[in-house]
Amino acid sequence: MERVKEEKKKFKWPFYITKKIGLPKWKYWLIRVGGILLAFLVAGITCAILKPGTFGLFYSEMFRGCFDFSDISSVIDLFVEFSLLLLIALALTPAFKMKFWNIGAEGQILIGCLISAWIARFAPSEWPNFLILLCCGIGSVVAGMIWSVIPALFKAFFNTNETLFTLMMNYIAKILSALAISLWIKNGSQSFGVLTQGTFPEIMQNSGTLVIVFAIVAFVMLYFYLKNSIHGYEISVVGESLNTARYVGIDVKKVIIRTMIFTGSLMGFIGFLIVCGVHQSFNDSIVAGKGFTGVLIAWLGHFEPFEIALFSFLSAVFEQGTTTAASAVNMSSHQFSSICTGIFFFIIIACEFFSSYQIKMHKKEKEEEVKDDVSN
Amino acid sequence: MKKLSRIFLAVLSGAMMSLAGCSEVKAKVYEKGKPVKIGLICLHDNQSTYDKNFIDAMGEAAKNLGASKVDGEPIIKTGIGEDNNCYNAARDLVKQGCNVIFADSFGHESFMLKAAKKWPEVTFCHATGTQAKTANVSNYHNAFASIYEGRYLAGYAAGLRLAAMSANGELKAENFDKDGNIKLGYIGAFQYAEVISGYTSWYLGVKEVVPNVVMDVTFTKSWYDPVAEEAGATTLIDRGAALISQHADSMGAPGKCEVAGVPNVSYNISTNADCPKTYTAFSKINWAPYYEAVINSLFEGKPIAGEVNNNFTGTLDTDSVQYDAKDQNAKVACEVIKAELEAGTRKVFDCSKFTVEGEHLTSYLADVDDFGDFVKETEAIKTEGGITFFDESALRSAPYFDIAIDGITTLNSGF
Repeated sequence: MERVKEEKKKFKWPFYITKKIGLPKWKYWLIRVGGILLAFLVAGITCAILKPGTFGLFYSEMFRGCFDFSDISSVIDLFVEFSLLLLIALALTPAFKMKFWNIGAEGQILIGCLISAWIARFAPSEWPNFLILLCCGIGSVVAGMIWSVIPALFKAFFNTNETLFTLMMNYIAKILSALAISLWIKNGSQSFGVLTQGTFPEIMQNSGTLVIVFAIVAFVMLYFYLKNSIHGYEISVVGESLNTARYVGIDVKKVIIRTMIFTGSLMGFIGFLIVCGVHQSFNDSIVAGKGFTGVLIAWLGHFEPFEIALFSFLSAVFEQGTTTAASAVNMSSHQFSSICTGIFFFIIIACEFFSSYQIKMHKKEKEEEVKDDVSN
Repeated sequence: MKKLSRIFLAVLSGAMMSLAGCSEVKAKVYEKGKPVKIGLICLHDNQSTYDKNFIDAMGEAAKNLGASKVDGEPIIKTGIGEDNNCYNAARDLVKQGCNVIFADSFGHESFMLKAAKKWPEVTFCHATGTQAKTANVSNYHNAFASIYEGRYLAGYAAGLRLAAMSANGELKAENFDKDGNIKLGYIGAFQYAEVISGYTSWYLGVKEVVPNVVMDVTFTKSWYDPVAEEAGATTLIDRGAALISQHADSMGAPGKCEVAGVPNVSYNISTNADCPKTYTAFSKINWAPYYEAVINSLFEGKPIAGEVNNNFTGTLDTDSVQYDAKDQNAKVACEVIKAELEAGTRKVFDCSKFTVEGEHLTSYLADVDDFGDFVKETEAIKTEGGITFFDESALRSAPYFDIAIDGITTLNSGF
């Protein structure tokens, strides 16, 4: 009798959460598309609340910011942002597939940026631009590789936590960059300025155009690497189960290190693209959080190249579009675009939750059962 | 998946084809006498006192000039980093038809210069920059103000307060060093000419009233870091500073001073309302006269009035440099000094008033011409009307006084 009383006192939520099984694909995508549309709607409403009467202007300006074909360069900017996010998320994918949680993309890219900036700044001016670019590219790839292989070695041989390790490497890269700038810029202003050599040529008024070309090539290569190569298969086996991998004779340590060398090289290369192509400049926040956004996109895209491409594109549209819209409606704070991007990711993640889980209410019979117990 | 990849390729090729048919951004050629379309690029937004100072001045200038000279509201772009985003922001302003584009942060300079070369029809004006003199790009301009004079006046007002504190016996034993000098404190951002010129002129202002002062300087290595600025103030107060000033944009240091009851001199903004006990004086650059000068000159089709080598230096006379003191008697005394500065009978960096390693300066090479080489090449010591002085902000608008004078100790490196 007393035991029953205790049970009665215990607080009970009126609902519980269970895993959803067998949700058809079309339904899943319907939820996602609905989520994306809802994100656009909520961003517009937020804008209208902050600056009344700008609901329509928000969308027209967002469109103008992304797809103004009278200014080809701004459209290229959008595709450059898209390409960078896509490359970062794809570079993370092999490691994530084998459940190596590398959240050090930001630092691996930044260290690539640092090396490119260093070579481009101090290379002899007699060298042809092409040679300087080649050195920058190779240097950055090696730097990114080193930055990612260190945590991989520790994971493979000492089983250290790769999440914390890669996170820590981000801060080391950031501090090294700040240090390098203060050594190079002797007037103490921290301002790097525009690189005079080691820069991509301008195509269609934009120095980032070549970045898009590189991204397309990398996309195709990665697609086949993941889908149609033995390496890709090994990665997925290691990710599924370490014991299975060992049983079928896969050298797990080798796979971890090899995959992280691959990821790191690509990250370093992205750093090279950012410094020599997109910005032609350098500072310690030049990656601007793309490394972390990439983690989010890779995860939301379920490590599928085409899904990743979709979310990279939407993220780029949201960022560039809302930046333009914020300026057009005279938003006093420049954080508005970050808020909108936050809204976007929040809603998409919520969709993810509701398509994998469902909330059920407790049935009344159960309560009756309890009552029965009491009467007994 | 195959179907998807085909769709993807089709979209991609379609996008590429439509891109090929697009045109480039062309600048509008300005015809004199028409309203001028203005753009302004800011590093942060209204939340930063530094950027707020520019944004407010732009609003005031546009109001003063009126609709006949200014085409609609100035377009203000906030949160523009010191990277290619600055160039992109400039491009968007050109696209929207701006005839003149201003930028407010030092690091924007090389991207503004790149834009100026790209669109020669548009006038580009960069505040605090150093390259216009040497770049030789006719539509690219630098501007600053003789803010060292404002700092000096604020320092003079602080000196008067310090003298009163000394006379009233408010100073404690820890406010004096072993030689009996009164200690001052200063929180700087970075250790470069703009900041060094600022704290040295402030120190010399105080010293004009109270000759036996020494000063500690600590750097935060950031333009906006409330926590570091408060920590800097704490360090200085613990070391016995009797009076504190700062060259940083947050309320960190003035707030700490108010709690600790140490008088404070602020920059860019008056802290009178927030720190009623300790607010002493402030100085700031007023950009409105500069904006008006640029727009008026464009409107009349003339070169920008007051420029030398594409450099504009705002002065006390033009109201570009402003200061205020809380104490009315101090203000009256400061006005006398101000009149002397305007007349040129008093110089802030008067070489007879300070020493470097025990010697009075007779010659000093400053890095005035910015070729990116950091080589000091220009003689900055001048003698005029019987005064030998460091000729600040005359050879170019941005400050170049970077001398470590006796009596000022830097506690950490600001690089």
